[in-house]
Amino acid sequence: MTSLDRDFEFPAELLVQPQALVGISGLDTLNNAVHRAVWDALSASRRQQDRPPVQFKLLAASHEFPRPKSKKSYDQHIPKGILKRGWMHKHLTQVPSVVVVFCDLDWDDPQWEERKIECVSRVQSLREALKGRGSRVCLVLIQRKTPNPAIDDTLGTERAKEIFQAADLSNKSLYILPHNEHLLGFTAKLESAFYDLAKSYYQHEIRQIKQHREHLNKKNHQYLYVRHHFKIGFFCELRQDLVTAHCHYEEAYNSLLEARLLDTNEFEVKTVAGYISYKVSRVHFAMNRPRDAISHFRAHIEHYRHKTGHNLLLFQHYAWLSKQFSMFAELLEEMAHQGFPSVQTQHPGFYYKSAAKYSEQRKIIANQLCKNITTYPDPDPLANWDKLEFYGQRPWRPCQLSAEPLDPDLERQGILAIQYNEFHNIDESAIIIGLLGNAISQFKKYKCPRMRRHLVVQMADEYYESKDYGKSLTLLTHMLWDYRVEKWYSIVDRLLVKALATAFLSAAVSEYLTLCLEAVSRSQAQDAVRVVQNLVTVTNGGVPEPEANLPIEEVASAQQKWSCARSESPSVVVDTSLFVPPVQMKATIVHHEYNSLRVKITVRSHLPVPINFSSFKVCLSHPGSQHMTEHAVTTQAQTLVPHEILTFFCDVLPEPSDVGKIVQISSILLAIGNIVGRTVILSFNGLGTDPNSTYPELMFFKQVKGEDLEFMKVKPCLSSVISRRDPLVSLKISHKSPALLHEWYPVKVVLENHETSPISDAFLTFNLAQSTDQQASQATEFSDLNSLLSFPVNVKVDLNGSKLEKCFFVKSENLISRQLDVRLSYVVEGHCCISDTVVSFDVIEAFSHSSKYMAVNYDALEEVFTSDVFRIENKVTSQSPWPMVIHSAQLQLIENVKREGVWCYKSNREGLVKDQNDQDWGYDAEPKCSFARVTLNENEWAVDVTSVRASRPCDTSSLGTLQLTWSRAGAEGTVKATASAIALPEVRVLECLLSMDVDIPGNGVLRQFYPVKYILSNHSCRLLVLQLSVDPSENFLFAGPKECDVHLQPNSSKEFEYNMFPLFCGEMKLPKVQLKSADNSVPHLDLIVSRALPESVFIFPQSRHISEPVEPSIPAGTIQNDIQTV
Amino acid sequence: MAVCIAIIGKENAPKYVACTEKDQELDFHYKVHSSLDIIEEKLSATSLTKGTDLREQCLGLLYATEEHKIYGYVTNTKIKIVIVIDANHTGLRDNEIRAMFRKLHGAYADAVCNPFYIPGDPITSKKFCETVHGLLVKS
Repeated sequence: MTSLDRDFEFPAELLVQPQALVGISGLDTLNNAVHRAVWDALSASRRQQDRPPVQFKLLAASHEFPRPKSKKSYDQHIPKGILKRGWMHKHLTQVPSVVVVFCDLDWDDPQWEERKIECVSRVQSLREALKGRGSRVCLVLIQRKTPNPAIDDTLGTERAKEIFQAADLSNKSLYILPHNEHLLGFTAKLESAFYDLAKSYYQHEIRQIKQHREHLNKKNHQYLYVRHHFKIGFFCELRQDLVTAHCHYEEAYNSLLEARLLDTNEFEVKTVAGYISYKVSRVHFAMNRPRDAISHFRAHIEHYRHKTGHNLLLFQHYAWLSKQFSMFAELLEEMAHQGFPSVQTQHPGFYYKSAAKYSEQRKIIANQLCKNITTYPDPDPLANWDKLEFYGQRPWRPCQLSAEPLDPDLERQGILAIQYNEFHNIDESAIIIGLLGNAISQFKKYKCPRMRRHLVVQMADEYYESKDYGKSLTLLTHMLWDYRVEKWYSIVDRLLVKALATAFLSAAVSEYLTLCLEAVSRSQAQDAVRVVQNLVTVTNGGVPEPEANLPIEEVASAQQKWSCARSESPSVVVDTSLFVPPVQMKATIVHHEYNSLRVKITVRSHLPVPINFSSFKVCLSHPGSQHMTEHAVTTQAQTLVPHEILTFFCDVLPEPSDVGKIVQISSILLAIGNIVGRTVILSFNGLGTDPNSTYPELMFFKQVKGEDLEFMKVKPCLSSVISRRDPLVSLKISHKSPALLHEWYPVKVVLENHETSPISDAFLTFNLAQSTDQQASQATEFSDLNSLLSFPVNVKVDLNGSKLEKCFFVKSENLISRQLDVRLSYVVEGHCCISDTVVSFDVIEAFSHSSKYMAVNYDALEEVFTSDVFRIENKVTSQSPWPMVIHSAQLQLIENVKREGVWCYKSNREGLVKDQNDQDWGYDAEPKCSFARVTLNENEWAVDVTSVRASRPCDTSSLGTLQLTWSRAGAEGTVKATASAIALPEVRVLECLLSMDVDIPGNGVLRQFYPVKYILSNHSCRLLVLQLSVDPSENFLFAGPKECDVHLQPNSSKEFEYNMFPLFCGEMKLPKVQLKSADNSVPHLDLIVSRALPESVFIFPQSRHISEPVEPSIPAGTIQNDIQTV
Repeated sequence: MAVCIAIIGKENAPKYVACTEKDQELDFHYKVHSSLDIIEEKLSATSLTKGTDLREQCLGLLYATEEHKIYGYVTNTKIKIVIVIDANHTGLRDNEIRAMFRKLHGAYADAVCNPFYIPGDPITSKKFCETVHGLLVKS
């Protein structure tokens, strides 16, 4: 398209925010670096936000400004048009409000006088050039020296005065620009100074126009009202006085509304009204009043909508309307970018849409009005269209305002020329498609997917109209999908017809075939037959019949294309699950054994006529592999008869690798035709459901009969697990729960082989059940008789015999119950068989153990002394419900503890018995273990007592460990012993400096002498000084040192003998012995004494035959005295 | 009164569309379908603010073109009712529109209460059709 739509284009200067023009003179930007920097600082700062809205223009020294026109009197003046084309452009780019002269001049310049004169002459010549214009002139001196405000620069003041007197400038029009590193700051200040000057200039211009207004009268000068208000508005905008600008634009617009509309001025008025209205809206937006902008636009359209103008140029009216909408849409879009919020129901898309609608009307009317125009008139009535003085005037009668055309012939020629252009040179479709494209993107942005879809359909229609069938088809197929998903079939049907026609015209084989299949079920009976016949023709390589209502010349070329058209791929695959297919298919897996898989396929055709298919296949997908396998259902071609149910069977031999897995029917493929590039394959999912019904489960409420019912009854089954061959090897597991903690728990696997064929690849697999928690799985070990195995355990077994037994062991290190999955797998006759079972067991404690330290007399000890013999007792109590064997036991003592001998006996609750080996219990000088090969039943215990002596003192610590090897009772090969190490309790070993021994008879007799000997031994290598005292007792009279000091030499002992006389019989306490150290140098004296002394001694009564002669009746009170005297 | 009345299902599939002028039927279908955009948007806006409790079923004016005004209404089960009014018909008050919607809602409820009606199917009830055509402009 050329710029032939030029009549409606908005001038570029209308579309921008006007900015005051400032001319810059005297800057040599090419050769002078300083000038270049100044210019860059001025022009580069344009991009910054808070700078004054000024635009700079570099003027050459000899620049010529447009001459102002001489003002005539308004009395006789009749305006020739409304708005001059050049006016805005002139004030934006040609007539500067301020002209600035830059000069390099320092105050102390050596050639001051000459330079001053040069400078003044430049100002003078500029002023000459601007004669008749009110443009402000000012002078900027670029100085190398930075003025210092602190110093009174008398020279500067004087010379400045000289200059502005010579150049006849006011003192506010002279500026100094020091050239240093703060250039940007200085230029910013200059800019705002220029802007102030510019504002005063525009204000002056406005005042001038206002003066003219007084001479106007409404009758002759209506257009001048419009023009003047527009100009004032424009100047106000240049001053950024938006409120006033808006008033004047509004005034201009309203004045224009009053103009009488005739055929001759209608176009001009509407064009200018559009421009002014645009300005009004724009200013509304700039003043942050979007609602007013929109309502103004509405009113504007409403007013001019029915002002259609010349009947023969009606299309121009619609073009104008379309342009109004599209310009407003662009404005709205621009404002949306600047942050004015748009909403779903009020956004630029709607305006683009209206613009497209009017363009469409334009096209229709243009086609009606102009289709017979074949010749362009000569001479060209539109020749000087770009040299017109006013906006919107006809090129063949410029500047004429008469109500009637002056020259009817010329008028006719002009209209003819416009019509010719409209029909032959303007591509309305492209305009419409462009507008629709804009609208579509806006609707997408504002979340209106369905409105967008409607627009896309319109776009497709427009492409169709402009014979771009490929694009039209692409859009239509996408939209078909969208509308089909939401089930708007009224729209879908219409799109189908259109798409089918488009596919026919563009000879797109694959789309055509797909659309045919969908159209069959959506068409009326007659149409359906035609569609099916077309489908068959295409698959046979022929040319289909054209769709209804197609242009004849297009049909011919399309048929040409069809004769050699082929689809891109060898065959067209159509997924029938997306629409209601004309053929329905249900697949059922009937058998799914390891050696046979049978699929039943039920087919039913809704096609109006019988149709032959060339191949029929089932596709199976296999889990774990990407590939699919195809299996032919029938090999020979068959016919699908309408409304008849056909049943086919397909037998497939499953792959051994698929056994035990899910096999799924991924699709069923029915091919029609067998020519490469002309074959259509219908792909079915096999469910046979109608995608149209929202609730397939409610279909059973429908009354159906005949083949409908029959077909409905078929239950599709698309996937199934291929069952395995049943194993003939039995897997049995025997174990005795509960397991014992730390025990190697025996699990016996018994396999019995009843297979008749040889077996290979037999494996036993053990694994912890999936539900086992981490704590349990970490504390579980698995082993066979010889070695440790880790989970999952995979053991190859030899199944050639008829029976096999194998023992495995599980060790549990905590008390959580466990589950083991056991699986036997083997291959026989090429088929894999699997047998699974589960072993579950609880875990309990095997035994409890207690140890204690005892003195020689079996008293429990808190501490032990070096050189003292003491005993360690270990007691193991079985808690296992199964007999438990202790295979070996060993007491491992730490270095400084030595064994003295072993006491052993075995016991149960009833009493003491001899152990298994018939050994006596008692003292055993040989250090051997008493537990070895002891079998304990539940709640039985075994005790081991070992006499030891510690050689060195030590802090609290364990004296060793008890090492046990044990298992549950059982035959060799069925049990596996566990080694457990049990630490002995901790005890403190004290150093023994002094020991005390007591030598007394085992028992005494009443009133007979009872000799007691205390032996004190010093084990240290120093002298010990002690005090020994024996307290008096009620039970005994005694003779011996009652209280004495004892001096014990190193490594020596002393004996103290006492003669006791028991006074009572029974368990009697001996008189209390106390030892004291004179200097507290011997610790634990009380402990030594109490441990050495027997708690009590037993005193027998006197036997008659002895006591009678010896013991006369002596009164009890006197005895004591007697003995003491002895 | 109305020039087009449409009942649209929960999943935005049409259940019933009736209009006065047969030759513009497709155009009405497009318009009603497009209005679903605004209904959806309004529904999502209300569900965001008030949860799922939709007190006001009448959504009012959805949008207006130069020829038509389109009003919407949503039932609790997300059945949408759309009425298209001729833009030149200005005398219609808001509560009259509401009354029309309520009447249609009632008629729809009666129609689907029929035990022989299968949910999801287009509505074919004669009584319902009569109600709808009573609300359409006689051309």
